Amino acid sequence: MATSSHCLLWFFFSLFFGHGFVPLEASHQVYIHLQNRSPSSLKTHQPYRTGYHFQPPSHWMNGMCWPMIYKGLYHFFYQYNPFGAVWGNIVWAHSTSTDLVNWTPHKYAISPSQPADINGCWSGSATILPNGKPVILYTGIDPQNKQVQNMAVPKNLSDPFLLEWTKLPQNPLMEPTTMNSINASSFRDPTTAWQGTDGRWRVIIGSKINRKGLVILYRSKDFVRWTKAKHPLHSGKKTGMWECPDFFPVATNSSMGVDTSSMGKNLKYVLKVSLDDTKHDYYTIGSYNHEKDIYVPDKGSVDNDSGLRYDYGKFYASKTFFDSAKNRRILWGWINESSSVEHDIEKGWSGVQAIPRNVWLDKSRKQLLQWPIAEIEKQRINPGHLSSRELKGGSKVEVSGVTASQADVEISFKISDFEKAEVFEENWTNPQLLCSQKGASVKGGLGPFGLMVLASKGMEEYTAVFFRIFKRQTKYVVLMCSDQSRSSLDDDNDKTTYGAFLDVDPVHEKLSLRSLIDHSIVESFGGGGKVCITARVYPTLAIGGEAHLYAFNKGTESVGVTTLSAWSMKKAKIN
Amino acid sequence: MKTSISLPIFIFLLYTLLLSFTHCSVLAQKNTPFVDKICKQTPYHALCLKTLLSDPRSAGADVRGLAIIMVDVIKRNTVSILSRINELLKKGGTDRHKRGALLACIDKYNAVLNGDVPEAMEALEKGDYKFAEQGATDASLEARLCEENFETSPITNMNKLVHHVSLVAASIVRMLL
Repeated sequence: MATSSHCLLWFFFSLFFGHGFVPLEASHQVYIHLQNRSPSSLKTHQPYRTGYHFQPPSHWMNGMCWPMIYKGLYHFFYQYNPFGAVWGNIVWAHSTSTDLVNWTPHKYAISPSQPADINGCWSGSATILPNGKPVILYTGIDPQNKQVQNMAVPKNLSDPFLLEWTKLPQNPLMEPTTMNSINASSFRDPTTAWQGTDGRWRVIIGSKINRKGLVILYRSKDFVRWTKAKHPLHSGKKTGMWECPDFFPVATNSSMGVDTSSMGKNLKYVLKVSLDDTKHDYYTIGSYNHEKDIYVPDKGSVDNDSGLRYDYGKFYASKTFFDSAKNRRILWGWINESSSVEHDIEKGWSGVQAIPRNVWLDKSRKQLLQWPIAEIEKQRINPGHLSSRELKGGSKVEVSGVTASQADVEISFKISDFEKAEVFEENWTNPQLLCSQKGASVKGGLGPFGLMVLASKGMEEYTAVFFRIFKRQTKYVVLMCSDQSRSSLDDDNDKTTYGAFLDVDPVHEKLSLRSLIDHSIVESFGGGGKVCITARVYPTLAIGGEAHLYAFNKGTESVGVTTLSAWSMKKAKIN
Repeated sequence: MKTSISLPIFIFLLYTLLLSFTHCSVLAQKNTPFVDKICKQTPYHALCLKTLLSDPRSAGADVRGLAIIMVDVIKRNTVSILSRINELLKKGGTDRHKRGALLACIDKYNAVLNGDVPEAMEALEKGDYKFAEQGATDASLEARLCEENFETSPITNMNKLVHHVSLVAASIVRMLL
């Protein structure tokens, strides 16, 4: 860079003395249709805004890494751009709730104000100290645009809303230096801290060295002075940057959550990272050696992007917290738009949150299970049940009596005849690709069967969430797909199909599917939470009252529907 | 300027000007193998090489520096195409469909100028590179969608240019992830 400025110096020197003046380009021109939206001028026609999924009134929201509970009140801090519908100028916005469904917005909790965060207040996590006091560690961008870690504490602990936060004058507490060789553009997202047997606090921060992703470990006695450990807690070759890490224990003998600092028997540990490269959140289950501070995934774990994901659709920068009020571990995830930036600017907003999910260890100990929190069921009204029936091949049945654009639907299938199941080919290793090739309109032997949501009356538009069953030697493979290819007549949007294999034995178990439908988001749960797939869709016809909901079977073989329940969902006070 | 003293001064200044150009291009050439290596990994190798080497900043640039140059190029080309669309609209004589397509392109390129480019720049400066990738990728999408609006596009080459340089920028950013 020094050589190029040297060049420029010569250039301008010669020009200046030749002509005495260097004309500057006009830096700003106004074009017709230039949009500069303020919240009050938000477009009135908003068919895609959610009824019960969290989103701010306008502008950009991205991954929020720090949910927490304090004095019985849930807090939600999220990354927000006050000036536009794209990422930038990031501050911490803040909302509170008593039930994780209805939210009250507050003033921004944190915005740039000291050198350690003057160029940005990025993600972090809350830790509840043993005395009940919450503290936040977060990534700040310093005057040299380096990523550093800072701390903030509530200004007034007797304020249950925790409106004001004080930043430590000692910030930054952790920063890249020539001594520690931390990459200053790859050092962010501190986790909730946990205490070891020696009483010292541990925290991990996402980073990378070239293409090796890792979580850097820091330890502290007083939560202010932190020392970098020689080794990372864990790392992964060729995975790229590890963002928004989350490290927590889960009980092996219960679906209840446990505190992040819990120790003892009957626990396994989960390390989840958000991969910058692929935009997927993947996790492993393993053991944590407390003495050596090393995490080791269980044998057989796939420790990269091909591994287990919380969600096989759109779901990123997720984070859990221990809800001490109800002894559960709750997962939040950011769902970005699948629309073009032009559409985002036009509608004036971007980004929603998934419905908070309970998360716990499956009995097999090989994966986590997730399920929407029970509180969301309070939004259910106008229940509709279809009697159990056989759904013949090539048929569909409408689920009427619910507002199909804002609904919750649960359906269960039982298969009695597997004769027509197609043979599974061993080279079918990528379920997402398989779902793309065998979309909802491709007839199969056993499947596709499932739900068609946000469907227009003439079926010009629909989003299909469904199963296909294949025969593999003596067993059966279940594929779950969320097919967005016909979700909208507007081709400006990303209509990628998502898919995953569902670990359910259809011979002995029923096949269940739940979908939470909310205008432009479809969150689906297969097998009681074994596979989750979230999608964003932007129908042009199937909006509001014009949306329809169907159960369908486009396979050759008929399938049994044992239960089908659907509810309209009441609008929540999302902000 | 009086001819009696201006000519020697003029020749001196011309010499200095030439010197600064050759000086700069020698420095840029020193970095050519690296720039070439990067450009080979993008979908438009020749365009990437030509564009980067013609910017003096590429002389000492690392991957991030090259990405920043390409985002600047997206911006410059977006400003140009918006200007051209403006001209075409002012000129008039276009049928309703073409006019509608031109107006739709204005919205798309405004999104690139006011959304994608600032987002990508801030992301590159501060190190959250996926947002730079997102911005650059979206810019290529907006260019493609603009072009697809027309039956016969009056701005095909300009749309193609934005589309191609955006994809080059996105692929350079991917090397940072």
